[in-house]
Amino acid sequence: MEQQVQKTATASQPPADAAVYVRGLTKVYESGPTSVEALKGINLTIKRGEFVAVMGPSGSGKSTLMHILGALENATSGEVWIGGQSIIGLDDKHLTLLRRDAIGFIFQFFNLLPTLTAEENVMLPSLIAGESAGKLRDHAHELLDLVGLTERREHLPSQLSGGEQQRVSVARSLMRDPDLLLADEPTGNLDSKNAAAVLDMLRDVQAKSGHTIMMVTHDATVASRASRVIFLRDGLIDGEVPGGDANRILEHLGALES
Amino acid sequence: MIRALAWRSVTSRKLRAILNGLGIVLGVALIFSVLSLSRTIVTTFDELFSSVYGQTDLIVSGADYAGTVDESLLEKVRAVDGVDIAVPSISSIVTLIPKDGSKPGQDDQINVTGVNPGDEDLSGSQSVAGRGIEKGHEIALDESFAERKGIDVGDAIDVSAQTGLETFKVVELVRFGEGLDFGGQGFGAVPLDVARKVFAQPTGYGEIDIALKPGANMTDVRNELEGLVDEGTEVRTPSDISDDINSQIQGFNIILYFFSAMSLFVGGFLILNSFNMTVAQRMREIGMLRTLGGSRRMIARMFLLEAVLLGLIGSLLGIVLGLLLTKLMVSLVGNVGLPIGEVKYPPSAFIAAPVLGIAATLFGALRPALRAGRVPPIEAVLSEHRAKPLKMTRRLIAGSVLVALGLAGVFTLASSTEAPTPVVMAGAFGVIFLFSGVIMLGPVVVPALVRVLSWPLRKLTPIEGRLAADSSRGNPVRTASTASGLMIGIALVAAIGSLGSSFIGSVSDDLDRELKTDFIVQPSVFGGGGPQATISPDAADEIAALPGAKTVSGTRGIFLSTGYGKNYFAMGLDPATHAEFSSPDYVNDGAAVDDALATDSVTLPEALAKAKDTKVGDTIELKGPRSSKRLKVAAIQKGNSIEAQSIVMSNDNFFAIYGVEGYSQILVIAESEAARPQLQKSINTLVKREYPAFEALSNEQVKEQMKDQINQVFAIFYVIMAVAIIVSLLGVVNTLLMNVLERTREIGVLRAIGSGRWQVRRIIIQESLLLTSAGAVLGLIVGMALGYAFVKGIDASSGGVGFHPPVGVIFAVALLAVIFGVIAALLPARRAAKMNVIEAVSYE
Ligand SMILES: Nc1ncnc2c1ncn2[C@@H]1O[C@H](COP(=O)(O)OP(=O)(O)OP(=O)(O)O)[C@@H](O)[C@H]1O
Ligand SMILES: [Mg+2]
Repeated sequence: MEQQVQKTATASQPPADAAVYVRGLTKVYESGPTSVEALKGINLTIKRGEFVAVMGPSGSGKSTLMHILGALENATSGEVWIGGQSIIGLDDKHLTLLRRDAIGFIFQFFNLLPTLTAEENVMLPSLIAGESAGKLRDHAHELLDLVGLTERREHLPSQLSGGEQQRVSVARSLMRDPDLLLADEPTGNLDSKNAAAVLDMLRDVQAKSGHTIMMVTHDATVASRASRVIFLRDGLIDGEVPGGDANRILEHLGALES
Repeated sequence: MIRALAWRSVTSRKLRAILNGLGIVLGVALIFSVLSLSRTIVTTFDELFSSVYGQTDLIVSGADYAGTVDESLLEKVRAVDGVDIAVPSISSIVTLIPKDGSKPGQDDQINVTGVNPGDEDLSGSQSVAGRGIEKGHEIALDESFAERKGIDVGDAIDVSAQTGLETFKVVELVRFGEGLDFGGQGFGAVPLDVARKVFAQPTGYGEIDIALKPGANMTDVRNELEGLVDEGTEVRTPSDISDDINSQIQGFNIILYFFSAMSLFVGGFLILNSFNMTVAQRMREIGMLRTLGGSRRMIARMFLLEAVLLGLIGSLLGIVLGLLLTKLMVSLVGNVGLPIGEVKYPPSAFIAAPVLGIAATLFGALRPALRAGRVPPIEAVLSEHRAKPLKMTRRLIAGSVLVALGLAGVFTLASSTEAPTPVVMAGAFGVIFLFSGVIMLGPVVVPALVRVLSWPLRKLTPIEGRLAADSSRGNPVRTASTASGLMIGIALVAAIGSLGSSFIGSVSDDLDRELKTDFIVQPSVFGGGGPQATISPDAADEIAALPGAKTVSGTRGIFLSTGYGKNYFAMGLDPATHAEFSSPDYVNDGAAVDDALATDSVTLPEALAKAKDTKVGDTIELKGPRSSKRLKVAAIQKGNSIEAQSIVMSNDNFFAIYGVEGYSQILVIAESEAARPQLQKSINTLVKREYPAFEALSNEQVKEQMKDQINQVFAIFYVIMAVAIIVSLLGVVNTLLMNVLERTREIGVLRAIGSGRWQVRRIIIQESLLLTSAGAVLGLIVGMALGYAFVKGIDASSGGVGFHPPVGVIFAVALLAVIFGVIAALLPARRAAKMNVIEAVSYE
């Protein structure tokens, strides 16, 4: 990837250990005569191996932030560095490569391809990259073992429960060993039991392999499993608390919403 | 309220509405232009006859114009009570030699009549320049031909006639009717004595045109005349002749109508699939309307109204396109050599085309609309609409039965020599049954076909190929109906192609086996109907004198329109050299046939002998304008060559019966292989110098020419089917767009986890290729089955045709399937590639 980096003229350089480094990030949606300022100047640094939860009221800009970090959307202004590489000004082709090789995504709606088996869904990012299925199978098995679905390899998504589907999504997001794992409300569609299972697993993964994870959630209990919780309000970062204590998180949320 | 909803539905699903609309536009344009074309052909002939026979009440003529009427008949005719004027004439085709030295074409042919300069003119023409012909090599020409060729009064023109090159002075220009153009063919008149020489018709008349005295009873005169003439001569009114021709045109028209009806059917099918998709897509919305109290009828009405709206707009635009398409068709028909005049748009076409268009739209929309009406309100709450499982076994049985019935019906039509209405219906319903059967089998067959066809794609690009195949197989009904739409057009193309290749193949097999000539001298263009150009027997002597020529022999030919052998060719040949030129395939022992031919015998085509129940040794009577003769059947012949399809006799007997002296072909054998190239050169030089309307062709060139001619005849059907195929491609685009829409989420996920835009495009293109190639494979199979049934049927009745697969068509279809696949995918692939990833993955 190094040769593809387009350095933008910039004063600040990210610290060496930053997985995500954001400075002065804004996002304005122009829709006809009105424009919505979804992000109004975000500054954020996430170290390698951190598990960060993002919280905030509806419309505060959480998803927008995730989309920009995930190279799905362009920023209006500011700087964004992922794994030591600036992504501002990259063309579509390079953004695609970034998504494929450096970023893993877990969506709220399980987003598996319905005609592919669990195993094939896990291998999908590498299949897209043109690798042959034979060589990928072992790695896919490891990942399915990791998420506890060894027995479900040959099942189609329609034969899996919501929680199981989401666990396949997690395995898929790890397939290319990405620098950054982004999850936008991954448990939003699950009941509390399944949500807890998925979260435990995410934490396991993070603990074992040291991936950097950013997760949006509305659930304080879910957020409390993260190592750090940051809060967004009206497109700006409005404080942060360390993970672990759900009550403290709830308190901060309450303060935000009033 | 309903109207507003219907309108909004059209405008909100703009692209699909445009595609549907285009389908209707094309279908209506086709119907419109076919109706206009057939009207134009009919009017052309009507006008042609009324101008040529302007004041003629009755015509006495020999069979097929080329035959002659005995000269002594003229005085007898004139003596008949009630006959006012009787004008004798002979006629033939000559070819104008272009001044610039280029090869003469179809539009250089002049239909020339030889008349006594002093005789009354009974045609509907009027003189516009110069004076009437008097004597010698003078010619009167029709104005529009002269104008087109840049000829004026006083000019000298060179024409190739039966006796060779002749120069005529143009002394008069005449005008037939208003702006009438005989499809490029010119009309001319020359003095009778000159015509006798240059046409090589020393005796007899081609026809005697009669005008009656005012108040004379047509029936009485006609009866009296019929008493005067023998059976080889006919008494007809101008309208008898035009009715004859019209009934032949009618056959051509029915085929045209059938093909355009098939295209319209494909159009209706497009609408059906498309509305089915719209209904599937709007399930929730419809359910909602029902929850809010909308009745079944209201929902169905909403969809039907949408269809009417589409049908109306599409039909109007279709007429506009139809005006243009007619011109194209008319020029294609002109290429085949049929005279065709100015384009006529019949008022009925302006009504029939849009009515049929709207009917097809409604037919297509009816089932989906009723289905929409039956959507239960619960659908509003259910997120996923589940399609009913298909009844596969029932489909398989019903489909196979229909296919079998269809092929049987087609065989019935093809295997009958005559075509009464029930047989034609059997054929037409056969084709429709066959298609319906295949459409029924579609959801069973197509997914399997897609699986096989996707194999190379999956090898080439594993994940793209896999996803493309999954998408096609995921909705078998939709995929199958889309491919089936394409199947119909391609099947008809393949069926026509099979007929063509089987005829060409069988005839060239026979040529290879039977014809042992090195060269054939024949007219370079064939007149469409009417007298054919012939070449003087002198030409054969001249060729025989060329160095390198071993044997030279002329054949005579005439198409019989009456008597024994009606609708067959009579052929005259030289029995002495017959064995050198051909080795006929006789059903009986052929040892002494040539000797028998030299005296008083004929050979018959197998089909004719069968139809007439004539056996070897029987005697038949052939009646010609010159005389009648009783001849013995020496042999019965199988095969496809002109000889094998003709009543064959000696040149002498032929002349004695039909009075035709010119040769239609001269056959040449070279002394040796080595002498061939030089001989061809010298024949070409001779023919080009003295008989420029003719050319010398090697056997290979004859085959090529035959292929070209067959392809020209088929061109119009290919054009009609091309429209059907384009309409079905709109269906492919429709289906792909729907698939893209339904898979928004999946495509979004692919993009989010790192698929490039091109990778997404490739998936859609491959999906399109799978659809078009499935349609193509299915179409080729069905079309060849259809062609096979047809060929076998013809073989069973007339014999001599074997099935030859249309190799050229197969390759062309395979190539086009790929090209069309890519083209159809352009728009849907663009949609998929430009999809907003965030929207695609974020919402349910
Ligand atoms: N494509 C868009 N066009 C216009 N405005 C948008 C668009 N996407 C988001 N917005 C606006 O930007 C703001 C931030 O939206 P975002 O989706 O980031 O909120 P969120 O914090 O994820 O909310 P939620 O918790 O409800 O998911 C909102 O006001 C939203 O309406
Ligand atoms: Mg959000």
